[in-house]
Amino acid sequence: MAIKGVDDAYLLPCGQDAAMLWEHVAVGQLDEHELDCPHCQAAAAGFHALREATGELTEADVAPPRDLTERIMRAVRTERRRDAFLPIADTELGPIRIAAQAAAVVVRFAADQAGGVAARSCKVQQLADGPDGWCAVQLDVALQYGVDGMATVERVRELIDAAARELAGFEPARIDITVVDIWQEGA
Amino acid sequence: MITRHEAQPFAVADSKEPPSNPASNPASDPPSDQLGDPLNDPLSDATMVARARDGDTHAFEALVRRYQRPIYRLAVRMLYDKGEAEDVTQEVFVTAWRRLPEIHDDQAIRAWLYRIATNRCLNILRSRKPVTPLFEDVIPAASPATSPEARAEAHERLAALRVALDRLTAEQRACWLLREMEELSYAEIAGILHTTPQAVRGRLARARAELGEAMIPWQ
Repeated sequence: MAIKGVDDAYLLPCGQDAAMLWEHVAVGQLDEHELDCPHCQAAAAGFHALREATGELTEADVAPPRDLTERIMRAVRTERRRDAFLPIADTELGPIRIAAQAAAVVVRFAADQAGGVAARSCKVQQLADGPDGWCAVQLDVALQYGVDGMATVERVRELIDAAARELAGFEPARIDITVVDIWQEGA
Repeated sequence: MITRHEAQPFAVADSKEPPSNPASNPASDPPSDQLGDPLNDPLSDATMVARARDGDTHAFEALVRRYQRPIYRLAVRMLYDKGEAEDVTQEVFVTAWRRLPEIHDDQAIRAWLYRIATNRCLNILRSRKPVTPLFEDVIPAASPATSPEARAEAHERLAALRVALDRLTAEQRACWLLREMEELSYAEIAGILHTTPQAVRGRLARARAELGEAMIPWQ
């Protein structure tokens, strides 16, 4: 089955486009030429065997070793990005600070509890002219289709406010929420 | 029912489609236990990428668990070496972690991971001295449900396909694996291999023709 390439097409010796023959084999409908031509018949036989073997290769899934996730995450954690720390309070024994990343985890967790909300990007920053522990929260969320947007966002604000004070010790003086996406359950 | 992402890890493609079956009463707030789980929603690739970009390692781990299997599978089939495939998979995700800030389309993480993996495999193959691959190492056992004769034939047919795959150029093999095994679109493959969908179509046709010729004895 000598085959030559012309531009982007791939032609059998009889001039038939191999890609077209492949598609005809896939749907089981060879045209008149393909049914008569020995080149096409030989190529079609190979395509049949290839389709069968391809199916077998697909089923023969290759699983990674069980500990691969942990190895990857160990490597990732050594490169963990550290950003700013937020001052929470200044005590007699010294200042108390929280990593902005950790504060963001608390905010995202609180937002997720509202139901129909997926918290995305989150930034927690110390207010420029506020006392220690006063922060501005910026949060992107995706909402589930069908939830009441305004009521849900207000609920997210309340949850963030409570979690920030009770779990992380900072005062969210400002909570900006941006709805960046909508998702549909079971879509 | 909530669609579990593990069962359909690639079901993000049409998440931008407008909802075709709106909730019966959007004005009332459904109880929270009937709402979608944000970790399993169809947009959760975007959710996880946005969180991981902020430095959330738990979100990144969710992405690793979702995509390490297809990335490892591609690397094994490109390299025929499980040890190297593990190294490639680890490198792909560590690179992804470092370069998350460069991703502008959070939905495109899957194709982006395939691109890093494919390029890494092609670089390894270019620098590799020609050796006879040990196919036995990466040929999994056939299903025990079939007869011994059928198993033996399937095993030999698979071995023949692997030999034929190894005779393709590395780029042709990448093209074929990304289309037939990973079910990426021509446009996605073109993006990964830095070429056009037409060139992908041509490369795929050539790969299929060469593989088909090698498989004629196995019809």
